This record gives sequence, C-alpha cells and structure tokens, in this order.
Amino acid sequence: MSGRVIVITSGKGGVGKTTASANIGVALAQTGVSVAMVDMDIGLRNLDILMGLENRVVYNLVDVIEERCKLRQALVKDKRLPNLCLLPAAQTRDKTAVNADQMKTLCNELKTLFDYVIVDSPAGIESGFQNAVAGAEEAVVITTPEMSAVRDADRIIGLLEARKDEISQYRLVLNRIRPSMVKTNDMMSVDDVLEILSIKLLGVVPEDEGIIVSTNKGEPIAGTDNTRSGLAFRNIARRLRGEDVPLMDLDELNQGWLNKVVKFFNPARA
Amino acid sequence: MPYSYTLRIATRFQMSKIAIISQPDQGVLIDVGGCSTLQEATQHLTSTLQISSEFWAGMNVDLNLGALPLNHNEVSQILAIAAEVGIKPHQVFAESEQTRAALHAQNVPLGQGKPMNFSVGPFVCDSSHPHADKTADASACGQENQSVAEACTSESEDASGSEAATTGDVPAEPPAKAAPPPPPAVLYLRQTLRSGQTVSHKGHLVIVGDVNPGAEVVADGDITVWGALRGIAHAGMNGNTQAEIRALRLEPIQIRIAHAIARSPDRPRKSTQQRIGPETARVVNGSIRITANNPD
Repeated sequence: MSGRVIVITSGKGGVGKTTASANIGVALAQTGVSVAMVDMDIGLRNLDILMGLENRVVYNLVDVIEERCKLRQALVKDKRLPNLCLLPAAQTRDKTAVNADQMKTLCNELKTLFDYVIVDSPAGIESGFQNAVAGAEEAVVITTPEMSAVRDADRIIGLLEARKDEISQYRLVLNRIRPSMVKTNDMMSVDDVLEILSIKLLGVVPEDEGIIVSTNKGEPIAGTDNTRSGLAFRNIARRLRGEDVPLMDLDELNQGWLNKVVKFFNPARA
Repeated sequence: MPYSYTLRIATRFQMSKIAIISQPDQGVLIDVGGCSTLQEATQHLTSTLQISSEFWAGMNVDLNLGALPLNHNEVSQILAIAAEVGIKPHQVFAESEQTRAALHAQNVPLGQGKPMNFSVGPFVCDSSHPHADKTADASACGQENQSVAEACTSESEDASGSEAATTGDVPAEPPAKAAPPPPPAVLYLRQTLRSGQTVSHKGHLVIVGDVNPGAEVVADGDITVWGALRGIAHAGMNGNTQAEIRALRLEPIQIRIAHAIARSPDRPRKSTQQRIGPETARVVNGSIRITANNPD
C-alpha cells in the first residue's frame, strides 16, 4: 500500500495548524481509511494534547529517527478510532534533532503502513518547516482572514511552488471565518482571500467556541460534535478523499430559529 | 608553554565572550561562562578553538561552562567541539546542577568549586558559592545513602527525610586538587522544571519546586518532588524496582519505575477531590501503586 503524505502548514503561528491536523486526521479516519498523524513541532509539541493522548506517549519521533525504538512502538493509537495513530514530537529536543533526509525516509515508511499520513508542520519557514514538507506530496495551507496570516500564507505557497517536483498539489483552508463580520465588511471574505492567494480552496471553517472546549477536553470536534466547524472539517476530509462536496452555506450560520423569526418580520435586518 | 602567547589569545578573544586563561603550572582554562545560551557558547567555542589543532595537542586544558544549564546532549555537543581539535578536558567546571549531573553521567571529571581567575591562585575552592557548597554537601552525605539505597525497602514518609539528609551538617569536601570528587548520589535541585527541560541523574533526585507538564525527570534511585509533579518521572531507570516517586501533589502525565509504567487517567480529577496531600508511587507486584502519605 502506498499512502498519501499531506503536510498541514501556514507560516504564521496560531492560525489553527494543529487543530486542523487533529480534526482532519479524525475526520479522515472516520471515513474508514487508516491515518497516521505526525507532529513535527519538535520542542513545542501540542498535537498529543489536542488528541487527548498526552499521557500515552512513551517514545517519540526523535526516538524513532535516532533508532532508540521501532516505528510501531512510537505510534500511539487513538482512544476511539483504532485506525488512527499519532507519532508524537519530542518535547525535550529542538528542530535540529532531525533533518530532511531522515524525514523523507520516515514518511516513506509510514506511507507503506497507512492510507494517509498527516504531517503537522511548525510555524515559520525555517528548518522545522523544511523538514515537515520534506517527505510530503501534498500540502494544505491554513490561513485566517487576516492580512498578516494571508501574507504569511502567500510566502508559504511561494515556498511550496518552489518544490513543484515533490509537492504535487496544495490547497487552502480558510479558518476562523465569521460570516457576520464578513457581511458588515469588517473581515475579509473567502473571495477576498482567494483573490490574493489564487489557490484552490479545500474548505472554509467558521469560528467556533466549541473548538476551545474540544481542545481542552482532548477530543477533536470533528469526531464528537455536530457543530458547523466539525462538519466543515468532515467535508474537508471528504474532499481530500476526492469527493465533490459543495461548500456549506455560511450565511445560514447565525440563523437560529430566533433569527429566522426576526428575519421573517423584519427582512431588512438580515 | 609560552605564557605570552596565551595571553595574546586571551585578549584577542575577550570580545567573543570566551576567555582563554593560562594557568602557570596547570595548563589552560577555557572559560565559556560568559555565554548565556548554548548556541552562543558553541558558536564562539568553534570559532575560538580553531586556532590550530597542534596548538592544543598535549596541553592540559580545563573547561569552565559557567552557569549554563545544559542537558546530556548539549554537553556532548560541547565536548565534541573540543574533541575535534584534540582537546579532552582535564576537568570541567560548571555551576548549574543540571550540567554537573549531565557531565557526571558522561564520566567527565568535574572541577570542584570555581575555576581560578588571574587574580586568584590556581584551584582555590570558593566555598562561599552556594551551588558549589550544596553539591559538596550532597556528594558527601550521598556516599552514606548509596550503600543504604541498595537494601532500602523502608517506607520513607515524604521529602523531609531526604531534605534533612542533603542539607544536614556535613563537613565540606576538602579542596580537590587530587582526584576528581565522587559523583553526588543525591542531586538536590531548587528550581521549577518547565516544559522541555530534563534532569537525569545516576542516584536519588530531590527537586524543591514543581515539575511542569512536558518536563522529564529521570533517576536511577528515588525521585522526590517537594511541589507538584505534573510532568513525566522515571525512577529506578537502571531497573531498580525498589525505587519510589513521591510528591506533594502527584499529578503526573506518566510515571515509570524500572520497567513498569502508569499513565494518568483520561478524565482529570474533579475539583472536589483536588485537595489531595502528598503521595508515593511504588511498584507492587509488577505494577505501579500510589498510596497517600497521611501524617495521621
């Protein structure tokens, strides 16, 4: 079996790389394929916390690379999904602990074991990022509708384009969008972002307080909750698998039954 | 060795935060203590040492790492740079306990006290230095503990016992000019370990402070945390199943004793249960059990 290696990256920190990695991993695994998630943020590892697997980590990626353990020993199986595994980063080391060649070898090995390998890249464009994309064939660029995040995403896309030989396609996920603010012109819209980045859109994830709760609980929202953001990540996973899923209508987001009643009586407010 | 030559190097590299100081009878001291980070130290050290490998050949070289807190790998990194130009330090001085433990783990002879300065005579043991003093104490009483540790099955209550032992009234080691001092059997650390920091020690480990999530403490003997243990603790690393882990608040992500491993429950403790006192983890029938240390 030869799986697909997909790197999740953004350039800017705090836009939701790790959250997206966890949710895409869970959503993909729910469709029945086998998935490995690799945390490349060595020294600042978070993916295990989001997955609620922190207390099960014994060996890590650096242990595998430095041959202190076998790859299978370091893979942590998810609590709910038996076909989902996590390869955690080392917390007590830093980005210099691995190099690009070692990552390529590791990704190639993981490819033979899993259908999908999701690599969570660290922020920045330095060695950590270079290592994360080293073994990847596809990339998902995460950004938020802010000027600074879009600028950094643009830089990242430029770097990915420079690796055309290895990375066959890269697509965008626009995270934390607030339709109400877009409507009042206080936030960039999906089209605004796409116009700047001119890149294929993989999905749009609305802002959701539930993400914070799910992060603290260690249960990715895509696996547990029926919220819009969870649905957005499940749609992204389906699109990654090649299904043609239409973008969800973000305008419906703020329309609880109360809003609908208000709109009925006063259409101008909508 | 030509004294004037070294002096010239010393002045030349004063700018680069590394001093090379000649010690009339003892050889040369390379002082990295002026650097505040490992990166800085390695950078300057690399550039400084590449004068000529012949220059260093056969020379008696001491190394001072100052207060740099270095772990196992970082120490090897520094030593590797020195080894490249043929330097095998005669002894290495360090103020940080963590560094000393790492040096000891690699069987590097530790310098006792503070390295000499130009103004001070060679190898004067500065006993006013708090760290140097503590290590001397710890090593002295540690020798007694070590013999007991083998057969130690008694239930030591909490950290107070070990603490008393480490800070007890033990005469300081004589200024060491001859053999390097024996390794401390108890490492006494007075600091909070934060995420990413590791301490590993071949002996008992006492930490006065917290061990935060993401930090790792590893010891061949017992681990005692006078504070909250929230990270990973591995006691009895060499396979000693008699080792114990105790903390005022035992809330670790994982604890490992010898080859046994236990992880925290997936659901965190409820807030009503949070007032739990000191606890001890030990191996019973091959698995880790935790018992409360109630004073009454």
